[in-house]
Amino acid sequence: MAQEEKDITPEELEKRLDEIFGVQQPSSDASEDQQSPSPLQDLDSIMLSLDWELSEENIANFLSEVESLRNSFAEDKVASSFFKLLYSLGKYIHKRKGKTHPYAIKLLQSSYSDLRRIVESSEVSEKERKQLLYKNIEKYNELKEKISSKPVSSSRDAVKEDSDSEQSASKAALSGETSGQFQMEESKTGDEKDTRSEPGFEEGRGVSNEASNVAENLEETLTDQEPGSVPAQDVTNQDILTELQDLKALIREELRILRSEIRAQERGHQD
Amino acid sequence: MAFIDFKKKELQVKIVYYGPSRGGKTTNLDYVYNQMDNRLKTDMVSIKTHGDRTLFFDFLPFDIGKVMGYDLKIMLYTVPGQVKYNATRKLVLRGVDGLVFVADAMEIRRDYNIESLSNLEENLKEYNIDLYNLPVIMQYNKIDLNDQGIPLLSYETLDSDLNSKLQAPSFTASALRGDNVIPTLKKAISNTVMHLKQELK
Repeated sequence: MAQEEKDITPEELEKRLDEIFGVQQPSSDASEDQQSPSPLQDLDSIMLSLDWELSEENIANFLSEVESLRNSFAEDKVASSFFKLLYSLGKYIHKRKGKTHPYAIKLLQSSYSDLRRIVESSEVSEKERKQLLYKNIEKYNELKEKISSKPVSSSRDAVKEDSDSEQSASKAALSGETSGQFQMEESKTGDEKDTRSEPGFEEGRGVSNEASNVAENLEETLTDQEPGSVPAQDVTNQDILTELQDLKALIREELRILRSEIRAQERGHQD
Repeated sequence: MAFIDFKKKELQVKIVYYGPSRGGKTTNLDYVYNQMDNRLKTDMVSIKTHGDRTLFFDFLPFDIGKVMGYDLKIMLYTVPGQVKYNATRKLVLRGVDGLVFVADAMEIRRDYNIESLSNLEENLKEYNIDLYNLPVIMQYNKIDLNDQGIPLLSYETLDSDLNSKLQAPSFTASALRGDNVIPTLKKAISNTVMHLKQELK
């Protein structure tokens, strides 16, 4: 950076900022192209409301909109399965509210984002649509696993708190709404058999079973590769604790920096 | 007033991105960070909750050269927008030199914007700072949602709700796409630096 001893003028400052960030002129906000309204328009708004707050009203709106869209998309098996998955997650969140597993919220958002892709983009091939669905079902099964493995460690009191009731309620919320249901949406057209190459795929199996089979195979492979490694569910709890400790340390550190900054500023003001 | 380190001959200018929760303050900073020239890039500190919300604040410092013989260090902060974190917001405002108020252009957020602006005014009062004497830039964010058919407040409504008294420079923006993020920041920096120059004279 140029070392200048003289005062900076507004023009010089502007030039310097251009050097740092590149020249970007303010743009007008007019939207260039008008698009026809998306069928997900209302769900979009509801998703944003959920992002804001997981209120009873927002979740109820979400469930009702998803249910209605699922009926509208009954002919589209992939989209319909997506709606079913979202509905199931919505039901779970509705039951668990503040105790919802954080991964469920992330999954809800990512599944919705993938659903938007398959509904709104004409560039996504049928194969990609199905792959996106399988990916989300796998994640869904991961969530189920995370929930059921939550209270494993008996020595970790912090994690264990209220775990028994939480676990059974979570499992009930998820499995009660979903077990076997994805199979209903499985495409019966026969064009599915060449769409996947992942291990564990068996033609004619339900989409849900298929995905969980893949997840199981993957887990087995990892365990085989690392004999003597910590069981997956313990690692999960350990990870949560480590993350919490890291977060605590970070907050402590930030507070310390902030305090010293405030002190420094106070000193500065006194000077 | 900016913090002056006489030993290092450094002038630290603090610009705070303020506004309602989920309005796009952190997204603004993320975009700025990604646009920065690699030679100047410093670490951006960000502490988030599991739900990806700002828990404490985001912090992005960078140098932009000399003013009045002092190295000028710009420090960008965001505050957590959620109502319950007012103590943190107040703390971050301490020693603020300039502000970017990131308003959410969604129709359903109208009241939250107004509430947040009045919260800003109150919090500043605790430090005996008058909002109307500070360099402020208004940013009406999330205009990209218009493409998805989400009802947005018009520029006129936003300006009349939030800027009729302040009369601050204002930008519509999409922090997610990066539209007008850098122009907002540039305006905030140049207005704040020029304001400080006047004060220091």
